[in-house]
Amino acid sequence: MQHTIEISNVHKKIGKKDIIKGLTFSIRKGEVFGLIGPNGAGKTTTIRMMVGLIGITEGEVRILGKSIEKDFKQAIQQVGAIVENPELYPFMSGYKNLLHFSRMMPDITKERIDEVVKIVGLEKPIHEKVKKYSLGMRQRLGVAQALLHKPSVLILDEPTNGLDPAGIREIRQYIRRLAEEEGVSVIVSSHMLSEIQLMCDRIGIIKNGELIAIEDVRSEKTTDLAQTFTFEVQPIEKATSILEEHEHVEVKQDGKAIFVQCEKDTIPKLIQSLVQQDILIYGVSLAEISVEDRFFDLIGENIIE
Amino acid sequence: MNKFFQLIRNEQMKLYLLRSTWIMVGLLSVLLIGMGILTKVLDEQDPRLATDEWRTALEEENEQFEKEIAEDEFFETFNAGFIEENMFYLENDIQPTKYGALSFVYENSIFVLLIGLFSIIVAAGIVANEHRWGTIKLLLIRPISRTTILFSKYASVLVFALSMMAFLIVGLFVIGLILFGFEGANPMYLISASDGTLELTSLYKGIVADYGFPFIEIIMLITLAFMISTIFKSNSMALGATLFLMFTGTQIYVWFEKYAWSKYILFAHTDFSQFSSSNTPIFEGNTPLFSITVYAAYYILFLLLAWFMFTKRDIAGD
Ligand SMILES: Nc1ncnc2c1ncn2[C@@H]1O[C@H](COP(=O)(O)OP(=O)(O)OP(=O)(O)O)[C@@H](O)[C@H]1O
Ligand SMILES: [Mg+2]
Repeated sequence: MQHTIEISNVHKKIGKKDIIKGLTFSIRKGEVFGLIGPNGAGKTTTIRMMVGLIGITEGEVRILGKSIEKDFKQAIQQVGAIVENPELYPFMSGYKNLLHFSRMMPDITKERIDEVVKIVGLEKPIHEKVKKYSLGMRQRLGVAQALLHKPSVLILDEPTNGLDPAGIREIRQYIRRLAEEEGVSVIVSSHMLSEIQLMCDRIGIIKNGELIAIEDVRSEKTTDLAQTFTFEVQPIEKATSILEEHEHVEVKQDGKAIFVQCEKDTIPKLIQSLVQQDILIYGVSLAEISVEDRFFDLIGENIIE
Repeated sequence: MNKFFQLIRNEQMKLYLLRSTWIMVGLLSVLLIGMGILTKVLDEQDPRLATDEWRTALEEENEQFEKEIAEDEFFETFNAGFIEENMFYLENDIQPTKYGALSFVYENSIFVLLIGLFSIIVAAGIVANEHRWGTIKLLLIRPISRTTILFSKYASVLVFALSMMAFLIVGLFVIGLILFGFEGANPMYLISASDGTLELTSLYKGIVADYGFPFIEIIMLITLAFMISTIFKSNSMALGATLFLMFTGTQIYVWFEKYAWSKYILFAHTDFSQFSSSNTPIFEGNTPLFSITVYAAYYILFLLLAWFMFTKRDIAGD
C-alpha cells in the first residue's frame, strides 16, 4: 500500500463552530509529515480525529485502509500516539505506566518494555514516580508508550514541547531512524517550525482549520529557497527598485530590510549596482530559515482567530 | 475475557497505588482494632455465663437491671429488652451463646456503611480521575472498545467493594478471635419478630442478613456514583450527589409517599431487609419481586446512561 494514512475531506464542527474545514492529505510509508500552524489552527483537533478520540463530522480518516470510525480496533492497532501533552499517571513509576499500557495491547513482552525504555533513554529514572519527572522526561515516556506495540503509524502532537535542544535533536534522530529504517509513517505537529523542520519530509501548513499549503522540505526547490539574503541598506525604497531590475532575483522588503532570493553568485553583482547608485550598505547576510519565512508569509501574523 | 481480566488488573494496580486507597484501608483497620479494644474493656461478660452457673448469672443480671430502673426511669427503655431476653433463656432453659468472634462480627455490621462510603469514593473517581489526569486520551486509543473499558472500570469498583467487605469481615473475625475466642459451631442469638415475640436464630443467618442487605444497597449507590461521575466527569459532584441520596433517600420516599407513583421511587426498594420476618415492607403490598424489578430497572438505566455517554462522547479539551 502506498499511503498509510489517508485523510479525505475531513470536517469538524463543535457546536456551531467549524473548527476543521475540509482537510485532505495522505502520508506515505516511511514518511515524516509535519503539521504546522499557529495556536488554535486545529492541529490537535485534527489529531484527535485521527485517533478516534472525537467524532468526524464529515469526511474520513483511513489508516492502512481501515476507517478509524468504522474499524476502530483494526485501525488504531497500527497507531501509536501522544495527544497534546504526554499525560501519564503521576503516582505510578514510569515502568508501571508502560506496564499498564502494555496490558492493553496484544503480545507486548517485558523485553519490549525494556527496549523502548532504552530507546528513549529513560533507564535511570524509569522506576521513579512520574510526578517527579521533568516535562522532557514525561515527553520521552509519552513517546515510549506510543512505541510499545511497534506501530506503523506514529502520531505525535507537539513532541518537542518542553524538550531542550539536545532532547529535540535526539527525538529528531530517533524519528528519522524509525521512518527510514522501519518504514514507520510519522505525523508530528508543532507551532514552532524550526523545531520540526529538520525531521520532516513534508510539511502541511494549517491555519483556521484549513490546509493552506504543503511544502516539500527535502526537494531542490527548498535548497534554492534557503538562499535568501538580507540586505540592510539605505534608502530602502530606492535600493529595492534597483535590485528588482536584476534578472532571476526575487525582492521583498518590510521597511527595515530587503530580502532577496537569488543564487549566491549574483550577490557581488547586486552589491556593485547598489554602490554605483550611492546606496549605503550596512550589511548583507544569509537569511537562516527559509521555510519559516514562507510559513509566516502564508499564515500572516500569528493571530489566533 | 483475558483482555477484560488484564484491564481489571490495571484498574486494581492503579487503585492500590493511590495514597487515598491506603488511607481508607488504614482508617478502617484502626477503627476495627479500636472497636475490639473498646468492646473488650467496656463490655466484659460475666464469665459464669460460659459455665453451669449461667442461670445464676442471668438472674443476678436481671436483678441489677431492675434496680437500675427503680433508681431511674430512664433505663426502662434499654433494660426492659435485656430483661426479656434473659427471661427467655431462663424459661426455655437454653444457655445463651457465649460472646466470641462471630458475635463481634455480627455486632459491628455498622461498618458496612464505611465500606459503602469508600466504595462510593472509588466509584466516583474511577472515570473522572482519568479525565482529570488527562490519561483518558491514552486509555481510549488502544484496540479496545470504549464499552469494554467502561465495564472493566465498573467491574473493578465491584471487585474493590467485595475485597473491602471481605477485609472487614475477616478483620473483625480475627480481632474477635484474638480478644474473645470462638463461640462454637452453631451460635444462636435472639431477635424479636415483627409481632414482638422473641425467636432464637442462627448467628450466621444474622451476619448474612446484616452484611448482605446493606451491601445490596451499596451496589446501587456505587452504580449511581459511577454513572454521575461518567456523565459529568466530576469526582466531587458524583460523591456529593450520591452521599446526599444515601442519607436522604428514605426521607425522599417519605415526602412523596402520598402519591401513587411513589412506589416507583428507587429508595423504597434498596433495603431488602424490609422483607425479613422482623420487619414490615416500606409500603403495604410491596413484594420482593416488585422491589427486585424496580431495583433492576434503575440499575440497568444507570449503566445504560453511563455507557451511552461514555461511548458517544468527544474526548476534547477538558
Ligand atoms: N471542545 C471544544 N469546543 C469548542 N471549541 C474547541 C474545542 N476544542 C478546540 N476548540 C477550538 O478549536 C480550534 C482549534 O484548536 P486546536 O486545539 O486543534 O488547535 P491547535 O492547532 O492544536 O493549537 P495549539 O498550537 O495551541 O496546540 C481552537 O480555536 C479552539 O478554540
Ligand atoms: Mg494543540
